[in-house]
Amino acid sequence: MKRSTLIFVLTFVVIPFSFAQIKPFEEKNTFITCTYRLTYKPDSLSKDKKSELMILTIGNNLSKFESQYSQKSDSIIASPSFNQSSIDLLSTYIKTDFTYQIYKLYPQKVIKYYDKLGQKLYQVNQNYNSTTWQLTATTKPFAGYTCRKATTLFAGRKWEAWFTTEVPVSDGPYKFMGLPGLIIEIYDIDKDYNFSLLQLKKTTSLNTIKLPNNTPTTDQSSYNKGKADYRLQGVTKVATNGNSPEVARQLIENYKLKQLHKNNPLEIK
Amino acid sequence: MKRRAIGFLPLFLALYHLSVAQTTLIGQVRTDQNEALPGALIEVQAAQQPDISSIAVADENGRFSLQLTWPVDSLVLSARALGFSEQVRRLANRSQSVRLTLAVSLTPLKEVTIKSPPIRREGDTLSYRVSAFTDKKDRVIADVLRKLPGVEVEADGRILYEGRPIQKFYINGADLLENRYNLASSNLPADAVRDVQVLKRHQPVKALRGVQPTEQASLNLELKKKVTATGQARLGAGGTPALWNANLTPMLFTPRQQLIDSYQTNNTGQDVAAELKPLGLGDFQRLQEPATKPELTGIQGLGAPPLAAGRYLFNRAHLLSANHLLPFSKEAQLRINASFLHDRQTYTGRTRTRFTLPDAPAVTLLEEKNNTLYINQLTTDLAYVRNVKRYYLKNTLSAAGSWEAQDGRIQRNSVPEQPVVQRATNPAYSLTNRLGLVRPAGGQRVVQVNSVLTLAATPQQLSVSPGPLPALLGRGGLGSYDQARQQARAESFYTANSVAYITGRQHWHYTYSAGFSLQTQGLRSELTPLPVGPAPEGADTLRNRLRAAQGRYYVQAGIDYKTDRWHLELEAPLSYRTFSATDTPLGARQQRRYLTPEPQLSGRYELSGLWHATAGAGFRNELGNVQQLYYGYLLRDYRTLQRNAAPLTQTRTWSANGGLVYENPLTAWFYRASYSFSTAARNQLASTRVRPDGTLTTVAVAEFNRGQNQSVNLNASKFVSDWKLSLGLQLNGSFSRQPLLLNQTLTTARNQTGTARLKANLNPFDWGGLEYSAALTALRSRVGADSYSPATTLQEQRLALAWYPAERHTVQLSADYYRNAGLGRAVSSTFVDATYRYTLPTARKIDVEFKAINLLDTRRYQTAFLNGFVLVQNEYELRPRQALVSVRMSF
Repeated sequence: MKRSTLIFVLTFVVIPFSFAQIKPFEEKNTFITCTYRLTYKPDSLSKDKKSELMILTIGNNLSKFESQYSQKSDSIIASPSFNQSSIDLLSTYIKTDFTYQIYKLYPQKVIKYYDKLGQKLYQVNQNYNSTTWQLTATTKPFAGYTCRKATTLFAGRKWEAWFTTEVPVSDGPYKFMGLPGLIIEIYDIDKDYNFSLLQLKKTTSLNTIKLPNNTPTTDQSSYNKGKADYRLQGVTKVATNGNSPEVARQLIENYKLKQLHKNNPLEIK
Repeated sequence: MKRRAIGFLPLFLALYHLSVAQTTLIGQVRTDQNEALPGALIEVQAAQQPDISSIAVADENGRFSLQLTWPVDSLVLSARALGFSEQVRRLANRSQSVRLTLAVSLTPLKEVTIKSPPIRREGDTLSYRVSAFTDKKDRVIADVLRKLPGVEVEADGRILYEGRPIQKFYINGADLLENRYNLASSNLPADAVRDVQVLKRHQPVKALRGVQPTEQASLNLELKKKVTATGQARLGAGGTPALWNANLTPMLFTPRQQLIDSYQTNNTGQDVAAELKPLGLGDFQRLQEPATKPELTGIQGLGAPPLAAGRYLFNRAHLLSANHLLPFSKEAQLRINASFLHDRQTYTGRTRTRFTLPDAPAVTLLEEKNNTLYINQLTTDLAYVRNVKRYYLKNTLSAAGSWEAQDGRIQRNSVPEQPVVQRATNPAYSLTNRLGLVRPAGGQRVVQVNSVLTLAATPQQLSVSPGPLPALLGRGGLGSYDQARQQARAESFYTANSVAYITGRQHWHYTYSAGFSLQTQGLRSELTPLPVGPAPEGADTLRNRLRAAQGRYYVQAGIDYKTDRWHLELEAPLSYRTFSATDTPLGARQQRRYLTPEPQLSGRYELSGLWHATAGAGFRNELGNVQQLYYGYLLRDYRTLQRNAAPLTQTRTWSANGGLVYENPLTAWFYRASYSFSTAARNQLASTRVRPDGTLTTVAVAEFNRGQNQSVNLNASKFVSDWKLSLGLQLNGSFSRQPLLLNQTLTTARNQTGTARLKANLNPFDWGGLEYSAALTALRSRVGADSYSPATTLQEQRLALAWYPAERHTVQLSADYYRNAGLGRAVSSTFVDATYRYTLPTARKIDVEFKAINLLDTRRYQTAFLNGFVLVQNEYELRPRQALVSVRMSF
């Protein structure tokens, strides 16, 4: 055997294999994971409601709020046996109405908002002023916690929140924070958007919550326009790719109709 | 009233006084171990007024600060942190500094589960009631599938769910057609189906469930009735000449068996074999298999032009296909897929071939070709599948036979009075067994075994009259003779077997595999000039009695590493390759054995959110195919005589590529640039002798040489949303340098090809759409020190318009323009097609379609390509203007 071959075998076959067998000591991080059910009305003209599970992961100094679908897709990517070549397609594959990721940095009381466009993640600057809460003395038991009611005005809607001081974290679903405890339930008074806690548990993981790096920055209105264009382009491309013109026309029309029924965002202004 | 007001006054004053006074509380939270406690929540409330409250969160050093402007005289401060007991202090409402020490709490965080969130299990099912999506226009299930959210059907029938090809297409839960599901989706009437189920993240291999998650979906069609007998018929007729296009597809689905049979026939140039094309992905990785039918000898073909088959293919095709599935139990089933294709295809056209030669004028050959192919193909697959939790086993036995004859008549410009008549028969038979086994090995580890075994034989024969290459093959090397007959029979045995072990953790993913492949091949051939007379000089070199064996034994490590910014993949096989060949009558023998690493590395790096770079490099050290070796001469076609008596080509290839990609969906701009380079060193060179009449003799010569290829690609695309206009521009350039031994001169052929492509798609209106595409290709070459030949150019433009004047009426118009200039006179062709479709408003599902194509009756099309020192320009005789009326109904 030639020496170069021997070196090759050592470098690429034996050494990685032996590394694969070592299980180094790994420190685990502790999180509180809250699962909220979001019930929402995408079309203000219809009574139909949709629902999705949202995850709030609370770490030491910051938290992350996202749809369960996005979180699942991330963990699939992290899974070693996942077919690596399909990772790039994954993010477009997972279907959710909420592609945003909201990070709250506790000591700074800062919110960082990210959203996806295709496979790209953008940091979308928000016109966000910290919420001013009106606390009330009203309490009710909810999910085994004693919850207190607080109200606020946020993004054109009037909200009622129920929080508990038994979980000593000033956090909650979406961009809501600043109460003396965790928000267990929050809804706008029209009940178009309702986040309600389903589960709260302690979890451990090898990963930490990290702010995405390398993300281009944009503002909400450019993002919205870009997203609409991107989707329309995608639909047009798919529709006109090999389909007969009638089918293509139908696909595009179906899409437009669907978009008309998405007229009730959480933030009205 | 007055008194009360006065009574309140001091209080108001006091409140006012207090409210202007701002209180600042600063402090630090520590644990009882005297460590800072970041993240602790500090809440301050006004005493007796709990709804006046303010909060702060301790920073990394446990520090906090709060500003209050409350008109109260005492405050309640509480500090809380996860895992610590709450501390409450009463303070006077004045600015001060507070030190808080929290004790570790033994009371754990109260965890709750109100209702377990439903787990998104693998194999989530979405069910669509077909009736909700069907309207009058829909005939077959593919029409309905198109409308289901997330489902797309591509032009070739491939089904995508959320942009990715589906993995399995089940009918009543059974996989009848495997990846040839087009037969069912485009023929099963929509009426017969009750539900379409989308099985998301469906891992069809039970043994891999929970081990290898899949992101692919599968489709299942639930039929309305337990026993369903249904089908579809389509009949079309037209002119001129008389045209027909018919399709009859009966189907039967019962719990005990499933069956889809189909008979299709046409002479309209439609490729019937398309419905038998595999569309999905196989169950798991298949081993590499060599082609079972080597082209040993045959007539001079015309090749297929880059046009839709309906333009140039003169055919008479009949296809019979039978698909049966017999389930033994829930886990095991037997499947039989068989098809028989009978086709007659004619190709008429002209080939202009120019051989650029060093130190000599170029030789140009003009051939008028008239070819007829008679095709008969029979294929049968017998598959046994056992799919249980412990393992997955699939064994497929395939038998294929093809009986093909080719008739060719060529008129050359050099000797127009003497046409060349060629007749070839090249049947081929093969028997293949493929075995795959998957077994989970605990955790996320999997063991996979693959095996394939093939026996193949092909006895081929070519006869050419008058006798070609008379100077070489004529009696005593003197002159013309009647006919040459080339007989060649290749027999081969091939087996490949591998075991793979797949594992990984965190960022790393490993695949270790080991295996071997072995191929033995026998070639017997005989070239006989007729009538049989005294043998020409060197007659024994017109024979082959070759026995060859080639083997590869390998171990391979595949490593995959992925983080936020990096994705690296390394494939590192170490192979031991062996080769031996003998031809006893010719006294020839060779043997080769060597050990070689063949690493391939590729990587991707995220430069910023919008830019990423890719790069790759690799080395390969391979032996050529056994089929390249023959010690005696073989008449490949009427003007090519080849012999390869040198050691088998060993090619060492180094390759590298790099690219830079910008993707910004926000602005709908995408650019991509890539470059690739490869250099190959070979131990032998083909020495070609071109005679003035265009006949070729090729002999391999042991001579070390090096060739090189480079290519550059640039892409840009933009979407203009206001116009619903998508634009794409693509530029390609490729350069190659290959050494040649041409007419005894060692020289170099340099080729350059450049292509520019533009595509625009405009859909601003509801009543129609417009599509435009254009491509310009230029090719040129030079041999040795000569200057470059004038460029050959190919131009292509296409404009298509769709228009919906009213409900049930559709008009499609398209115009295609092609121009090829270079050798000889430039040829341009323009095609105009119009399709008008009217759907009858009857309740019964009957469709009538009227189609007219090639309205301008354009009959000629020309294209060109470059290969080393040879430039080939083909001109084709096309199908005339024709019209077709078709009726479609289901039963």
